[in-house]
Amino acid sequence: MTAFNRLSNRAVKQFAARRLARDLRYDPVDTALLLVGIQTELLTEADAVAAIGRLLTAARASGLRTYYSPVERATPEHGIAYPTPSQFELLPLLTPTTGVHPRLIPAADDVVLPPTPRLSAFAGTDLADRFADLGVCRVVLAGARTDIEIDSTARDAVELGLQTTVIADCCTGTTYAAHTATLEITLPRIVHGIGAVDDLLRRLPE
Amino acid sequence: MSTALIVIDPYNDFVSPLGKAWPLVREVATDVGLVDHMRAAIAGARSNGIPVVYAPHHRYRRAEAQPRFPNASQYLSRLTHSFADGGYGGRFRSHLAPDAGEFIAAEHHISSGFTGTDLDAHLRSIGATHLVICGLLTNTCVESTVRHAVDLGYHVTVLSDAVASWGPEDHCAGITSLKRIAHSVRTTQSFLSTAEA
Repeated sequence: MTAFNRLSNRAVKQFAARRLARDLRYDPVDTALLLVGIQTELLTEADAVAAIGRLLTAARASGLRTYYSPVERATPEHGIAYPTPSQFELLPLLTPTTGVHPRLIPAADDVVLPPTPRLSAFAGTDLADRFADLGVCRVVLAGARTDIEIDSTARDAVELGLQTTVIADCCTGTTYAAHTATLEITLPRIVHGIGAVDDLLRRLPE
Repeated sequence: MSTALIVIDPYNDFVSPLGKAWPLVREVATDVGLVDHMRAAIAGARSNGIPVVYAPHHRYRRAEAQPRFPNASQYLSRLTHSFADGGYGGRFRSHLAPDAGEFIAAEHHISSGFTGTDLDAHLRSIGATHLVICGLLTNTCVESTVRHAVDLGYHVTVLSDAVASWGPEDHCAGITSLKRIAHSVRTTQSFLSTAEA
């Protein structure tokens, strides 16, 4: 990469991160926590499972609405005529009865959405309408897989006008390199905030 | 199956030597042969009866409502007046521009060519099931449009040497993801040899 590119990229990203960070809010009135692919087979990092556990505990204590969007296998019954490599990769991983990770079981007030085989949790679901009906305009996103479903869901959230934060250490990707590239190179250009769970915990209302 | 070629954001600001963003895009664009490959893909599609469809980004306009939560790219566009409406940067580069009668979708505001536009309706109206995508930028508008197209049920091919981004890191991050989320990532030459077969 040329020095000019490197310097200007760094300047733009730093400006954007600082400018955007000023407007980030996590008020339970209008913020939802959206957990995608919180399944044993997809959460391959023990550290991520532990971090999501802390995220859940804090989110519930603050009164954030919490949504689970499980991932499922793409089959012809879903009307998916052309599965992608990322969807094929799930076939041997998931079973039709794949459930939520046992350490991250939903609480009574949490919403568990129907499993979806699509890249984005918003695609072909009523999630956008649910958020609009409740006045949710900010979303905190975590889960699996960083470079597949998290990325698509984050992009759709931004396209829907939601202020979007991705919790980096609460995500696992198809590979560590793909996870890192998504969170450090691409998503900073698209979402409003990317941080660790501890950054979020400091900013959540008591 | 019926194929359409989607051309994303071939604005002077991105792909012309006098464009505002060209100094940043130039490295990858030169490495992959972006403009020549986009030209070849567009010409090859036209000569093989494949519809060429344009998915243009929002053009900067002075007086307009701002989004409540702009992202980094939107802040940057506002600061730099990128793709200014009526100006040089907001015009398509002449040899990548639509021919008379080719469909130009409504401008997309963030990064997916489908959100809030008539792109999907048009593609369905012409019976397109397979999309071949080229343009800019690899990991933002191109990747968002690919992801959205997949979730809308299209079969998606990306031309790896007819897309470019802000630098090799961004371009490679995009290509790495695209290899998993698109159905095919191939060179323009490979696409053209199939189109002509």
